Amino acid sequence: MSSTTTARRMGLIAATTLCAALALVGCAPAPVAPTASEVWIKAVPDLVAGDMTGLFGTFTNDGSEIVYITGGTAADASLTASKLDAHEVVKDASGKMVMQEVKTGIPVPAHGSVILKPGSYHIMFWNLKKPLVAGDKVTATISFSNGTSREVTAVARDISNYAG
Amino acid sequence: MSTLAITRRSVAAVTALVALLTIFVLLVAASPAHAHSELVSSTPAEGASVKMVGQLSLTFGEAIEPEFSKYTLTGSNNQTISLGTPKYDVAKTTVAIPVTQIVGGGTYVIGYSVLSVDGHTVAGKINFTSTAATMGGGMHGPDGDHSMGPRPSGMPGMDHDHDHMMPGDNPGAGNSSNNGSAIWYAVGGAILGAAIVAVIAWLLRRRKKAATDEGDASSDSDSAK
Amino acid sequence: MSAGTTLGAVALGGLTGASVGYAAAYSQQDVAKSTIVPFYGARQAGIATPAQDHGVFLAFNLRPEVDLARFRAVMQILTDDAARLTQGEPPAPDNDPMLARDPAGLTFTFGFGQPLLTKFGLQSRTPRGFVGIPEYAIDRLQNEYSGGDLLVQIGSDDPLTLSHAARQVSRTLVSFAVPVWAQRGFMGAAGKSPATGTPRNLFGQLDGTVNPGRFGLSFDEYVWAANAGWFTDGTMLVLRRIAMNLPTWDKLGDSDKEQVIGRRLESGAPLTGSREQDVADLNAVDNTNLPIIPDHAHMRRAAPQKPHERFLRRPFSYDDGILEDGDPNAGLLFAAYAANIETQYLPVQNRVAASDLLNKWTTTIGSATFLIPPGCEPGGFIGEGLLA
Repeated sequence: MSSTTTARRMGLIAATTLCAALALVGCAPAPVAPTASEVWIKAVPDLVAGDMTGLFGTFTNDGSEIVYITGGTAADASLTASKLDAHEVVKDASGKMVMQEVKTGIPVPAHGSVILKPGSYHIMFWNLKKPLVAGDKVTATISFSNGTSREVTAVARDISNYAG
Repeated sequence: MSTLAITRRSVAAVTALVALLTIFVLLVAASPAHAHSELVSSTPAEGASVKMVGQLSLTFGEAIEPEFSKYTLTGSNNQTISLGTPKYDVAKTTVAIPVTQIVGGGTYVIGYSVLSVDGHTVAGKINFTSTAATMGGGMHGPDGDHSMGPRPSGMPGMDHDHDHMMPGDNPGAGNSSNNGSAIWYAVGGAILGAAIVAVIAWLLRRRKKAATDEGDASSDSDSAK
Repeated sequence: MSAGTTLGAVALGGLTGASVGYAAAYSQQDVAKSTIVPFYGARQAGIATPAQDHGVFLAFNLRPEVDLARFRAVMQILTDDAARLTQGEPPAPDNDPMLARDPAGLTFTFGFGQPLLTKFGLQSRTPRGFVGIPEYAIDRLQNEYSGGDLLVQIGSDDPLTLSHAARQVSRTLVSFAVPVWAQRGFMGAAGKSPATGTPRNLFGQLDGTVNPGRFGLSFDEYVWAANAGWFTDGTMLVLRRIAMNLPTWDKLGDSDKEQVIGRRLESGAPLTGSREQDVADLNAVDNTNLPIIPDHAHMRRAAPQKPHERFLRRPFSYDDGILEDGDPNAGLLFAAYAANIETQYLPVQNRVAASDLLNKWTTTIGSATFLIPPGCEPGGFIGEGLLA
């Protein structure tokens, strides 16, 4: 075998190895957190101990891979010190609508959006320590499955029908 | 045959009744007071010739609203003759308007636009002639002030109408007064009432006679079989 | 795969494609034909905007515990909701987002009553000329239709859209304010003058002939405040609920009505003219020297005696059923907009209240005045100039 052929073969192996390695990490640029719009949180004007509320809004994923909302933290510890969870509302065996944690997170499709709204996906705030009056602004950092996070500011709004 | 006779007579009776009703309606319609607040009478009256004009007097068929009623007096050269504050009777159907300016000889027109209490606008004009001498003559002050200058020759005695609210017995008063309408109603009602009674009685008599005829006829026809 | 299956698949694909295409085209059509009035800008919409087919005026009193900071947040929410709804987008917490899709010319206009300024200690910033209307002897003002801290005026050509928008406002304000009154009205196309577009009211009268912005008359000068600090590009609203006595009006003949108004019913022309836009000759007399336009005709009493006595009339008719005595509960939501109520509107209102033939058939049963703040840009809120 000539030295040129050997060099070419070596180059080919190196390139393939590199590509494979890149493929393993997605062969893509650095992950980006989805953006959020129309973010709001259900007001709780008359607080009862251990009260909870939900955060809603539209999350948009401009990337080419699906990303999941996994949870978050509230900026104001005096509002709640508990971790925020991703939840959904489903029908249970008896036909009642119940909310439950979404273990894998709320899906934000590639090049798409997901709308968090009452009766559907939402982010749970547990163990509220103080009331939330409509008009209040709440800041939270939302975490995603690709290791990114996004700070959002939600406006508290009254909602008459949402029971969860 | 007798049934037809009854029918014909009934038709005739009804026709007579309708005719009487029509007369009644026409009488009523002709009565001036039935329309809104039409002008019933005035002094001076339409087309009248008067020697002196101290005030204008207008009588309407229904009450009018002083706040929304207006009067003018205009001479033949379109000159405006000044008028004083109109005074209304309690019923607000008659208004007396003092003429506060000299009215010499010539033709004049009274203009009026009044609002009846139910909101209709009644407007019109009244033409009259004054035979007063153009020069001189008494000056009639406003609201019955009797201050007078030297009277020109030929003028009659002072007119005492200033403070009167009603037209009184003025010469040349035109249409019937508003008392006339009540008489028309009474006359019309009496005629109609009498007519109705007469027609009903006649119909009953006819029917009774026809029944008697029919009884005879059927017995006749029976016997004819 | 058989030929038949292939054919079937192609047909199905074609059908699906056609359906999708049709649906897309239909929704495009819907959005295109629904009129959208911009929300943001120097001046609030709903005033220069031609009156829509349906309108509602909502008044609220703020709850005592609402402080200035809270009210600012409330105005921010209301502004954001209005900005979305007017563009055919439901606000985020909208229970019925499908009712927001057809704005049909939707506008929101917000106003502040004098009590609101007092509540927040802002009386010293009351613009010049913002005065209340006195209660006249001929008025029969009902508490149900007077006063109010906060006004929300909404208009739309679609009554469902209007109702949904009003509902959204009420839901938003439930924690902050108590509703005082809601006055709904309409101003349809039927009866509008084909020549000039002037609408008619329930008297059959063409209403709004001498409005600023028509027949060569300036609009901005009379409606929008200038050199007024925070109030520049705002206006002042007088809202009077005028009950109409339709049964007695019905008894008049056409010429009677024309004497009362001073204009022809059919054309809206003044009695001294032939076209709606003809300037009335208030000095004209007939051949007996009686004025052709009666001394107390409405248009004479309401006519400006000084050049600045002009304001925008943007009324709605109302017809709310039957009163206890069987008469129709109907009339006019008389909405007037002026840069300065005291100099432009009040002299005219005083003249009309003192004497006007039309008063025989109308009774004012509600009266309220509001400051209409200037408009805002995205990110801002209505009233920021006063409240910030």
